[in-house]
Amino acid sequence: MRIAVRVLAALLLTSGTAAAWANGGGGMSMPAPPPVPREQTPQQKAREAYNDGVHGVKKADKAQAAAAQASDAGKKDRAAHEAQDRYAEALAKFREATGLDPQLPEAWNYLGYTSRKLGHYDEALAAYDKALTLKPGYADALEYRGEAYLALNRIPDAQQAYLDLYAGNRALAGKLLTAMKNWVADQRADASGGTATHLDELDKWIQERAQIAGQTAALTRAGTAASWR
Amino acid sequence: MSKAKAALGERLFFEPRLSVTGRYSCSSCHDPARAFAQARPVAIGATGEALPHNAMALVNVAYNISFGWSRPRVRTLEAQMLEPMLNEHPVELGLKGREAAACALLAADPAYAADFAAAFPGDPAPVTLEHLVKAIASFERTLISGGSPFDRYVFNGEHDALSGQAKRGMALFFSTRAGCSGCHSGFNFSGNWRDAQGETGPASFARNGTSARPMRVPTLRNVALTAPYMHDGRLASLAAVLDHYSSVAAQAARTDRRLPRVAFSGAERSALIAFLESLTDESFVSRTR
Repeated sequence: MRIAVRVLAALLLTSGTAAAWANGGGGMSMPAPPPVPREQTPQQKAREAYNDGVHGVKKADKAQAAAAQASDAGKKDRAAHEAQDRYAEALAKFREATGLDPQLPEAWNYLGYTSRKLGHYDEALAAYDKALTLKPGYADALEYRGEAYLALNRIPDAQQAYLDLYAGNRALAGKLLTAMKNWVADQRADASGGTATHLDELDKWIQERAQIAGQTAALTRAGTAASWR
Repeated sequence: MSKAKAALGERLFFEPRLSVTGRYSCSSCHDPARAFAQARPVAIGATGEALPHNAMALVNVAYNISFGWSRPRVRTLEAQMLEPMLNEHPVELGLKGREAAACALLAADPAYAADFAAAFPGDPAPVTLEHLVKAIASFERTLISGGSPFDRYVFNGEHDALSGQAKRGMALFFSTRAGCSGCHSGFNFSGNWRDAQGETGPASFARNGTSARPMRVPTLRNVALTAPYMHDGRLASLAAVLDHYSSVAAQAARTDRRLPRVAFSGAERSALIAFLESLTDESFVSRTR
């Protein structure tokens, strides 16, 4: 019986007659007032802008991957343009997010990411620095900043970024090491790239780091757990 | 943990008045110059009784899941510490029955009274056995070692920190052929550990051919300083340890699947020793008292 009463009450509350019921019923029913939208806090607005930006980054990354894979020059060009447009839209969202809530390290990190993708390296580095100030040891920001250093040919800084990552996040350290390998290959392919001696030295460093990482997998949480399973 | 608690704990760690004879302290068996281990095969208690086990090195113990050679259930430093303090068979420090007297002695010492008050503020009678144990445990948790040539090579990127021979030993150490890192895994080379993220697994114990019972996998950090080796100190040198594992490898049935599968050649043995020596953290053992 009680269940039936509750179901009835629920029906009444959702059928638009709740106000009439509350007013005692009868023919003088008044329309329910429209819900008053609650004012969002700057933090909520920032989170919303951030989420929009992340959504845009996903689309931009997808377009960039399509551009990299396309064999047709026209398709490649169109996809590359789409990626740039979407990175620019996402960048605007992250600027909005960091303006609304400057304490959001994730937004600063993506501000750096989109800036880097658009070639704005100074802005990218400043954004990563801000993200890392707010969240020391933030692995994603360390990795992205390492890639920005590579793009700026700041190799010692990129190497230090790798070492900073290595202690805490082997997967992202591995990602940065792969980026470094690719950078060396690109430089070798580019006639105006770095000197062969410098590239050989870096190549040797990368190989030794890869070897160390492979050998010492047993020191990580996952490696230890696996050896004792 | 607080600085005041750790500082008090350090004083207490070296305090001979905590023993029944007034001449023995934690540091009698846990010598800082030997990475807080001891040069004897087995430890000797304050009254001269031999203990069943070698004194374990105290290195990065804050991350241990359990303590002692043979009992996984001792899961805190505080619980472990009651054994050397209160054990009667054999006697270690011999504090059993004298707990109140020892605390009174310390409370009467103005410097200790001030240190206990600073370490346990708000307690009108801070000199208690419980606080004493907590303070020593706090000190032991500060015994962090991570500055060896191996660490500089692997984590600081100093690729010249290890010799070529040590690098060859490292490659062998971490190979499945040698199997060393099957047991001595983890950043402390002692298997599973715990940290803020939780435990990587149960405390690591293994049968290595020296005992019918599984024994704790000890840390290898600073291992060159902690001879003699094994739970009963039966092996005098690292070379003897590697010979032991070579002989285990030759056995038809290995006692643990992780143990080495092949005997080590002379060159391999030298390389492994060079690697193990690279785990010595001079800054850790030279810490002053």
